[in-house]
Amino acid sequence: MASTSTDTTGLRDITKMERIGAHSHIHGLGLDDNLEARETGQGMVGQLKARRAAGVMLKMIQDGNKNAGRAILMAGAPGTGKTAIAMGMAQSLGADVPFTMLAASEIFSLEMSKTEALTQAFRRSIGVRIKEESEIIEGEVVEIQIDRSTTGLGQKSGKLTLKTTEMETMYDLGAKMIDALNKEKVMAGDVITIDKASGRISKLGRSFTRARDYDAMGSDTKFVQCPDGELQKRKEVVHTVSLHEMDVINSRSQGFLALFSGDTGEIKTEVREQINQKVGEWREEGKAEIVPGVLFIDEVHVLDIECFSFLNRALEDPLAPVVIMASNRGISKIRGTNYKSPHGLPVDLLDRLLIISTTAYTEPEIKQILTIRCEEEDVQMTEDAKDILTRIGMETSLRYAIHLITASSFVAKKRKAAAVDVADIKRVYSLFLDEKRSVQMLKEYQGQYMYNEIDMADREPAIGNSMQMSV
Amino acid sequence: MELLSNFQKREIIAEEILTNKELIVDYDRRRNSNREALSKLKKELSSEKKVWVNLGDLFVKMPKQNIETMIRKDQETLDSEITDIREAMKEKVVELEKLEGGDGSKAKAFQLKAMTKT
Repeated sequence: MASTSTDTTGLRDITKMERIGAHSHIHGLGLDDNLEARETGQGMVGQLKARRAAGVMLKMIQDGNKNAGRAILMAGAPGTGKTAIAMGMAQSLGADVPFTMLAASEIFSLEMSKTEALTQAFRRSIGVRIKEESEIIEGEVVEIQIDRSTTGLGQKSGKLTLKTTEMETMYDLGAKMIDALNKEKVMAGDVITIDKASGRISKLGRSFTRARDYDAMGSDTKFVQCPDGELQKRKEVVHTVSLHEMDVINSRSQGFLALFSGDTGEIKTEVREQINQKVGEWREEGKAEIVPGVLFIDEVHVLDIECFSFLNRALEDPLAPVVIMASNRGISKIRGTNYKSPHGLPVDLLDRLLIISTTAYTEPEIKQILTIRCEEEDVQMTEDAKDILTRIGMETSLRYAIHLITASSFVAKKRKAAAVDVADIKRVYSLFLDEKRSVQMLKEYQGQYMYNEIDMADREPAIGNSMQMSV
Repeated sequence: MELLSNFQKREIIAEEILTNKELIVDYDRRRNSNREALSKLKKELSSEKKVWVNLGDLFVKMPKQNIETMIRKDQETLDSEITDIREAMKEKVVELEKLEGGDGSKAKAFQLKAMTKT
């Protein structure tokens, strides 16, 4: 019996295997107690000013009531750590603060209007904490004694002896309780829980001390410890639900199924207003607590002017989360209009934001980041290979260098080497082009590509000097 | 020095929490024996008018009515004592969490009023 339980835990560990993502090496912001950023910490490297600013924002978020409707914009060239800092903030806040990460293009869908998608995203980032409590009697059954009258017509009566590690007592049973015990097939040695309010009995398992009673037992018998402490306990459970979940559950019958299936559809404003009112009442009565969270919108320049007007209004709601946006555009056109504006956002929205700018990484920082990524992806590299990869990262882009790590590890494996060396890096560099070389090739061989019409005047510049192809 | 006094405070509060837990177990034990007594009085001793009661060191023969009232009052006192101790425990846990460097919000959530089943 014991061996089967260890096998199932082993299975569970395998299925929980995590995929290594672009930011899976980040576990926090790497700040010390004075909110000063350490050069390297918790997976983050460099970018000290931006990290310190993020740390201040974190304090504001954790302080609760002072931050409704705050918005921050993280602006910087591509590959300067904007999403990384957002991930760092998410990890530092912990699991009980709702953190929703969105790419702005997720707003556009045929099923839902843009404003509905944005409202759902906003309400997904606000949590409500509630507490459920129940009085239960939990103990190990010592003996059950049921007396039935000989005629079979009289009332059944019985006694149940329950014990914990510290005390033991006897309960008189009524007919309904005897029926419930019979239905659950409770025997001596079982550990049971009786809910005082509903009278429901649940079996938690068999006690370890009775494991050797029988030579053969069913394969699914669970063994638990004899409960300790008092017999009549008060069980309290704290739940955190988001406002969006409450909206969906109340929007239609069997609403909670929609939470799992995902097709929530448009939720009426009346439902939302009712929920707001209910939550307000609960707050007054002390039954619930609002946990404001963070909504992170990446690539916010993809949103159009209608979304921006909606955002202006939504940020002023008293029940609004902290919104962090990231943009890598310089002065570019606002989608939906013909006007150019900094970062691709209208000036009235920019007015409501605090802007954190990220700068390009320096060479030692790039080297450090590449070292961390090598560890994360489990790749050994020689010092020379690391240096040359750092040079490549400086000249092309950080992301390109990171992608080369895994590719070069495969090339190294093919020649049966343990660590990646300069030759492997050179090989992969020649196999996979970075963006600049690709543009170069396009220019040289333009005649040979289909539908080729490079028109130099139309491209939108991003922050930074290089001309980027806008996606 | 500050580290030591922080440690001291944490140990004191932890000690108090543990004592409270023990107290609740003791009170629950008394509650259960009271309950058993009440049910015995109702079922097995329904015929008698005066019953023997063990009060600490003494055995006293008292009318059944008085004993029942006494035990019920004792039960109520025990119930309210246990509730008070539980509230005090929750406050101490919040303090302990703050001393250990957290912000107390996780433990404070347990001080919310409970949702009743509608």
